[in-house]
Amino acid sequence: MRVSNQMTVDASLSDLYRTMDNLMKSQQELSSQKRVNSPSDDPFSAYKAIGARSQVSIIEQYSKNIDDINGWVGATDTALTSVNEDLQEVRTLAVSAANGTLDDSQRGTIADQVDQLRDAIVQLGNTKYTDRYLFSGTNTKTKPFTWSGTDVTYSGNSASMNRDIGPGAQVKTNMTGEEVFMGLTVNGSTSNVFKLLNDLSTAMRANNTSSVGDSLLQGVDDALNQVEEKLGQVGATENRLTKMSDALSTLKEKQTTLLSNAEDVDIAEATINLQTNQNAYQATLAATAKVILPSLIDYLK
Amino acid sequence: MSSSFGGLQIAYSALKAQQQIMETTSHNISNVSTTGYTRQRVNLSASPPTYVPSSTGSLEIGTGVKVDDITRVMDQFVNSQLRDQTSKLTEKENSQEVMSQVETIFNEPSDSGLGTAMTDFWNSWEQLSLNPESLSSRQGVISQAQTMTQAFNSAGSQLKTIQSNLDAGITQNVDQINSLANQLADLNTKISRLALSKGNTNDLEDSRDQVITKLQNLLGGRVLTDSDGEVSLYIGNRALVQREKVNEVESVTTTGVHNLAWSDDGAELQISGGKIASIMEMRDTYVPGVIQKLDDLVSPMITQVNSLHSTGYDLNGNAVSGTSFENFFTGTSLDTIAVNTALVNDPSGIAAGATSSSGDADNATSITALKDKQVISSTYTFGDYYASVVARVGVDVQGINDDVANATTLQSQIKKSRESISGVSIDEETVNLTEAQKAYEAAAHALSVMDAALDVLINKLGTSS
Repeated sequence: MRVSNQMTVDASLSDLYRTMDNLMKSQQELSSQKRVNSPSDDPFSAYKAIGARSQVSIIEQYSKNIDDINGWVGATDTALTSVNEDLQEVRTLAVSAANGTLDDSQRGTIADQVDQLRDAIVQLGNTKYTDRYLFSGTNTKTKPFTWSGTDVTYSGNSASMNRDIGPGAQVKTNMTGEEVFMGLTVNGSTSNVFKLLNDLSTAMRANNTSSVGDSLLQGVDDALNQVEEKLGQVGATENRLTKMSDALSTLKEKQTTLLSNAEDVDIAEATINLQTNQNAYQATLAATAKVILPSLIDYLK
Repeated sequence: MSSSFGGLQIAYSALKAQQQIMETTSHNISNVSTTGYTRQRVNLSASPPTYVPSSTGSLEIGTGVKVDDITRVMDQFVNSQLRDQTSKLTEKENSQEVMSQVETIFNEPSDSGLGTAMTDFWNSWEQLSLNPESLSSRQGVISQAQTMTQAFNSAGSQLKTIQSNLDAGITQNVDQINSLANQLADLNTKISRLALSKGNTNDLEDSRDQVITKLQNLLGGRVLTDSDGEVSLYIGNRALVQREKVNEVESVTTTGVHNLAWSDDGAELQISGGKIASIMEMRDTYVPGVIQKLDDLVSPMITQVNSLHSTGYDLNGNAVSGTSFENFFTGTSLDTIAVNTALVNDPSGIAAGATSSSGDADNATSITALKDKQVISSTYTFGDYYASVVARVGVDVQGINDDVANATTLQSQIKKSRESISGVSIDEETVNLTEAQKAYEAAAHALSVMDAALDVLINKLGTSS
């Protein structure tokens, strides 16, 4: 084939452009540590990377949720545990007061202790965590329990505080004052923990030992059962949060790996490619130098 | 026998011919790297003989050499193929440039693209649901929402800028098109006239080929060569240049964009190739297509979020329905989406609760749950749809890159063919030059021999010494 000078130039130039282009791509991969620097580098990997990146961020948020909820649930656990202890003490006091051998003054002392425990439990019922009431349902800014002297008024509601803890997973994070302290039946009528304790100390002072030892003691047992049931549910929630936290860790690891596989460069491979492309470029330069220069004129005298 | 000085004339014709060859060779060598140059060749033939009567009839006596013509060495078909392929390549390269710009707008995959902005937005509602009694959590929602809406607006504005730049490209090329068209008609005229007077039209013809190439790179079109060599260029079924006549074009505005139309009757040009064809396709089809896809992402987001938000209760326990806080987003599309200014100014209006109770975060939870809902065409989540739009642009760019690579390879092959036929080889010209030089020397020698003989005849015969 007849070869013109321009043909040689054109061929050399196009090879130089090509090898230089490959060299630049290798350099970019190594310096950005990414194989996929734009969607056109590998559209399907870009698609996977965008999805995986989003999932990692969402999972991190769920983990933050769980940390936050753990605080609330933990505070609930602590408060209910104290309530339980206080009620156990009330029971002990009730049993000793039912003994007919005590005199007025001794029974008075015991009744005073019951009153103190009642007040303590009111305080526990009004526990705040991060400036919000634990036991008011969703009326978190309203004090749930107001003691009138003979009965309590509950100003909270019975709504659940539902929070996300994972993909498609929610948890009820609260115990309402209603379900913990209210809804007791004593002597056939509706009562609550606070009224019960008040009735108990009143009965003690009146030496109504049959009430104290029988229906009111039964009421205290019912209250203890109710509180212990709620404590159990809180414990179950705490377990669920721990399990979900572990599951999220595993999930996050999976998505992080997916992300890395989709877009990260294999350093060893990229380094070899860079060296290969560099060699190719240099070889093209050398070849170009040899082919462009000489012509017949150099050889004619 | 011919005239006494016939021999001198024969030698002289050789000198002239070889000198012409040397000039042409020198011209070829000077133009070794001129774009579009076609090497020229001097065609020699023996001059018509004279006839001298002889005893046996007529004797044919040679009269030397004459230059028939100086022609371009070329293949018209290869040249025309090269122009067509260069035009196609120019068209695809323009599309490649525009599509790459579109791809860059998304800035994916990365931590700072639209995808991350959307995820951060959904996460801010999760964060709010943990503490719906908080004003600062609401401020967090506003902040992430604005980052996202501004990212959408920015993408929309950049895409519109690409469109308007493309549009400006149409008007900018009008003058050049008309100028080139006039040059072509002018060259047709010059070449015809020069050919009539037997002049050398080769360099003008090269110029004409270059003008046609430039026009085809812009507009595509069909080239028709008449039997007398004049060239016409048709765009669609009308001639931009018909032999020596030009139909100029102008820029007209239809529905807010510029198009090319014939100056004489305002009809639009049917452009199907070249850079202008690419500009129009990108401006009218590709870029609007991308904008539409993003609108299809943004529009349901606005509707769905607003629909949920409007049923909720704000920080103060008031229902937002019917108030200035009712809608979370304002706007309807990619460039108009924004956060309700009433909420920006007073984030307490964000309706986190499904009831007026302070600790109720069910509305916030519902809103963030949208991230997992198959909202778009009942098939895609927002994140999924977005990722597929980005991947699709990636596929488009990959495709055009392949197209350009293939078109470049094809063009290189054709160019190589053309070069092989019409390109200058220094080595070849050097040989030709050497050959002409030797032939010139030989002719000069023959001339001096005849001169010496004539000298004897004229100066030495019949003189007494």
